[in-house]
Amino acid sequence: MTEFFVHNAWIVPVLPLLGGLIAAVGGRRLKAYSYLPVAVGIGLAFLVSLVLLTGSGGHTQPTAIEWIDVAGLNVPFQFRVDGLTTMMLAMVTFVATLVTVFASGYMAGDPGYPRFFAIVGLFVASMTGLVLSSHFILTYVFWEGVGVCSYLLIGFWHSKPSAAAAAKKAFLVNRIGDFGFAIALFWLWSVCIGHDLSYDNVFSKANLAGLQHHDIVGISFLLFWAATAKSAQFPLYVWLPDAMEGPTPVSALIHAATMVTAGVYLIARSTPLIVLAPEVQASVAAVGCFTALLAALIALTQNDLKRVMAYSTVSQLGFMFMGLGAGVGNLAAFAVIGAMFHLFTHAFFKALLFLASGSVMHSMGGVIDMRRFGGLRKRMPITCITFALGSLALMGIPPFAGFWSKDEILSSLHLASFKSEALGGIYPTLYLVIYWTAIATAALTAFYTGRAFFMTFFGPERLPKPDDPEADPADAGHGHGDGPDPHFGHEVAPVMWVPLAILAFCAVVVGALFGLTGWFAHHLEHSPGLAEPEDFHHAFDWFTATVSTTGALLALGLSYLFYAQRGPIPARIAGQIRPLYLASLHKFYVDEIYNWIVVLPTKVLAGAAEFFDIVVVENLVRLAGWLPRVFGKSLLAPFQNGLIQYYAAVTALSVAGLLFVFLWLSVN
Amino acid sequence: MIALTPFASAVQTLRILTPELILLAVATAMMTAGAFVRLPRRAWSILSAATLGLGIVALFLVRGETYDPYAGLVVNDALAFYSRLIFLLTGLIVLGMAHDQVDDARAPEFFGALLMINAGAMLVCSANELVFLFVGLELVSIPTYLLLYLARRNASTQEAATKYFFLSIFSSALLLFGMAYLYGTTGVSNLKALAYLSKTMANVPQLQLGLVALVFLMAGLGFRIAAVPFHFYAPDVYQGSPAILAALLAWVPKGLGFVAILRTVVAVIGAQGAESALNQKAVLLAAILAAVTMTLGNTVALAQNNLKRLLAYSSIAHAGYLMIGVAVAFRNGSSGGVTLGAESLLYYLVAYAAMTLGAFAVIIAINSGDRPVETVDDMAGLAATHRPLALAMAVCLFSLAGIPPLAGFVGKFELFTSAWSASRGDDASLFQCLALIGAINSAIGAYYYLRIVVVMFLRPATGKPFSVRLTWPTGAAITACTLLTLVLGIFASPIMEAAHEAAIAVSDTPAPLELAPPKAVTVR
Repeated sequence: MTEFFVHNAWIVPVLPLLGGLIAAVGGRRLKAYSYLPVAVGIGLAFLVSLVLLTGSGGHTQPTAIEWIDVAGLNVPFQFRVDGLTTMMLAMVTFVATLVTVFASGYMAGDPGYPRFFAIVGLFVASMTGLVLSSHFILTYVFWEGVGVCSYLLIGFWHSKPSAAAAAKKAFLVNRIGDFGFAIALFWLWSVCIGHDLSYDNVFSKANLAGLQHHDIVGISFLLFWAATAKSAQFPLYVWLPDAMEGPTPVSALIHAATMVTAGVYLIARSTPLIVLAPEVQASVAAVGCFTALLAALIALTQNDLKRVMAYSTVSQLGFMFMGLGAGVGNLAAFAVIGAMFHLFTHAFFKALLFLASGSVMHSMGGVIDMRRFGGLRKRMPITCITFALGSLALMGIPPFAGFWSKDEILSSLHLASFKSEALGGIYPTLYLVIYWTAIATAALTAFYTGRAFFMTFFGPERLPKPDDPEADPADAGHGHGDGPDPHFGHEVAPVMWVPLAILAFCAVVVGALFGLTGWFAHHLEHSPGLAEPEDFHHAFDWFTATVSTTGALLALGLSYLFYAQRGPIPARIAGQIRPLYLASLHKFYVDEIYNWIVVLPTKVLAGAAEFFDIVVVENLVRLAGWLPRVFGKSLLAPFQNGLIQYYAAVTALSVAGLLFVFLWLSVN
Repeated sequence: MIALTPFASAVQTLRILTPELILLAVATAMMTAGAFVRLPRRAWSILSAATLGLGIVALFLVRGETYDPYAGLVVNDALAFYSRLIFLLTGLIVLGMAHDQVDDARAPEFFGALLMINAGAMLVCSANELVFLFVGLELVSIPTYLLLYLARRNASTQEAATKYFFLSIFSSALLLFGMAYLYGTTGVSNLKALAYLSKTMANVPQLQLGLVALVFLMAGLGFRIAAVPFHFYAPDVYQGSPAILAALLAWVPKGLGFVAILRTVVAVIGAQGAESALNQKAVLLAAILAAVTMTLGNTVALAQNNLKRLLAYSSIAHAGYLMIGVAVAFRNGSSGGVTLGAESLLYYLVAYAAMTLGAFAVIIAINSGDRPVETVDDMAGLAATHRPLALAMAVCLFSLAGIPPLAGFVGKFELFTSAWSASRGDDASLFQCLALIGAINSAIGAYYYLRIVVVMFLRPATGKPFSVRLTWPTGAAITACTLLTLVLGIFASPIMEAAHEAAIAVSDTPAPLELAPPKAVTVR
């Protein structure tokens, strides 16, 4: 049976797609049961993925279906089953199943209920197709597919102006990345053997040996460009925090666990190529490091619980890129596997944190500002405990999942600072700086996570007032059906807390279960470029583990002191370093800077173009329309005077004239 | 292939001409019987349709029947099959449009003349002799005079018939003069032999005599296709005669004119190759005619308000587009077997037939005595009351304007591409200019076609409501034309391949059985 599924891996994307189609077509009849076909489709896809995960040995390429076949471009519809793919598949479908179940409760009563699940089905189909495809162009197709789904889901409440704007922003920023991806594909096409963009050909030794160094650097850089948009890295991360306008399950599934990791996946997939360009690797690590630090600093002061989580996602994606960039020399496999492992564990605990935030939001009637509520641990014990477990995983406290993966990234950075001595130049120093910055960022992570947790669940119990300005309209927008709940702050229904509990269990165990046993690395080593070299030995890095854990614990303690009791200390500190505090609160004015250097010039240009269009082009068009009419009407039409003698005479004269001209031409 | 005795050769000729003979026999019988038998027009039209159907069957039966082209009166190659089939099929469509356009008394003559026109057009397609070709052309012209006179007896119709008659015989004279010169350069009137001599012998046809022949042949055939400056009759005659005859004139003479150009001028002068001076002059002449015809047709059409007159200028403009194909076709077979010109020309002929006949068919359907549709403004509000008809009209007009994915777009695209890809050597810039002028012209042309669409769909109805009587044959003709316009655009490859085969046949000159050169009359 395993054999069957390996050779028919297309079943995985088709199942959720079918579910989504059923929800879309039958939504009017299914009504409140619209989630069923999608949940069943994704659940079955998860089971198939499990079979693939446990059963596939090495790398198999199921048979291809002809798709595009013209001269110079042959794109088969071909999937592949290898370590990287099965791992991503299992993770995506597992999280998606739980999120769908959670959403069936969370979204209940929304007028767009069937639409929501139809798009979720389409999204899971695209995402699984993305990780399954065996060809750059096919990847690109699904890459666009997840982009569209993300756009549709961020703007799910499209009547809300902020949601519509956020959806537009996400789409546009992602298009910038797609542009890089497209150029990378064109470039690859023009230099690869046989213009064949399948992974097997592009990453084959013969092909890589034939590439010029500047080609490798250029293509790798463009691929990284594409990844920065999809995976929300500096400077293209700005869409992700705004994307929280979408329903919370969407934030959990797409903007934390799955889609945003597509960029990380792409870079990991392209490891054999990128490893040949140390410049690009160092840039990846540096950009990742800067993004991680920036996002962590912003997260320190945000008051919106979901925004804290969004910036935390940006920051954690930065960690993954640091890991991807640390693969110097024979460290590549170890570093990339570390990054992928973090992607894997992060998916569980970040989805958990988002869903838990969603459950808080649900229970608070749509209010998500942490200053408006507090001390919820007694009213919402399950949410509180699961949130705590997720937070511990995010902070990287042993033995929770995040610790193991973050530690791998940190130690690969540590190793990179030694290994890169072979490269000379500034590389060793750079990697050392990144390493220490990463440890500092890890401590910051612990602090802002602790802050969010304590502000929400500790301190004196506070609930939003029923006439809270945010509660009512937001609640109506979220369509909880039964109107604003007069009794804020009850624990959510089992359909919502059971997924939380399952994810919390995963957040506790997946790190140790898959990391410590070496299962994860072993599973991934069949993917191209991810086999650990024979001469590579790695021992557990006690130094890094001790330092980062100590830092995280200290930061956690500090956040308890500051926020659990709601003392005056944070305000006093904020007052002391007011400019810095304001900068962080206003997200370092990045959006404003964008507004000044990108949006405004574009608007000015658009205005100028519009003026040019109205004044110059339009009149030119009028002229072009006027000329032939005048030419035809006043110059040519009079010849048609209705007199037959005249017609015959003109015909005869024309023949004579033509004859004369041609004979004259032939003589001369 | 073996040489046949003269008698066997004659039998084979008649066998190949079976479809034409069937049509002619029935037409003659109908016209004779019409004087003695009183039958409703329905019976005559059914008989005509059956005859056309029989003709199609016969055409398929004689497909592949060949004999020595250098001895034969006719040639039964891919081009003959392709164009004869088109004329038979469009004959059915025209019949569908015409079946109720004549009263019972004149029905036998009317339908008999239609059949004769078809037979004549098919003779032209398979003619392999200058004289025989001329006979075919006259077999089209003379029944056309009859039809123009028969249809309606009022002043404007009679004016149109007279104009057509005089200008037509004038053009026939020009054509005959050209043919005489072509014969005079070699002493043979067999077209394949002419092409063979032109291909194998230097300076045959002699340059200056060849030019005289070329100009006169193009003038004579230019009348048939309504190319500027031989187009004058078209607007007046179309406007003056009933829509069904305007449709007939817009399609049949144009179709057979282009086939005749391919058979005579292109086959003979094209065989000389791109190096010869005569060939280069021929390209130049065709290019001038194409550019002038397109530009005049399109610009004057902008100022028209009468529908039939507008479509007359549209048909002139299309003669210009098709002439691009002729210019390119002179390079047939040269430089690696390029057949693009003739190929795209033959494809566009089919597209042109479908979309033009479709547009006329809609006009016929909505025009009636108590609510005439003469001008563009008369079409106002058609979409509100008769949406399917308006949609069919819009499809045909969009196609005429060359908007993808319709047949007219594919045809224009192929024509302009053929010109562009033929641009090499000395006259490279000539072909490029031609493609460019074509593109500009199709942009100009879009205006007046789209104006009709706008009037139909966006203007409120004025005056009396339409009195549409849509009988099923007319409806079938409209449906067939609209579907063809759509399908040929989306799924062009089958007809493209057939056109390709036919284009190869244009310049096909097989080795003669015995190489006995005819007495060549070389005039110094």
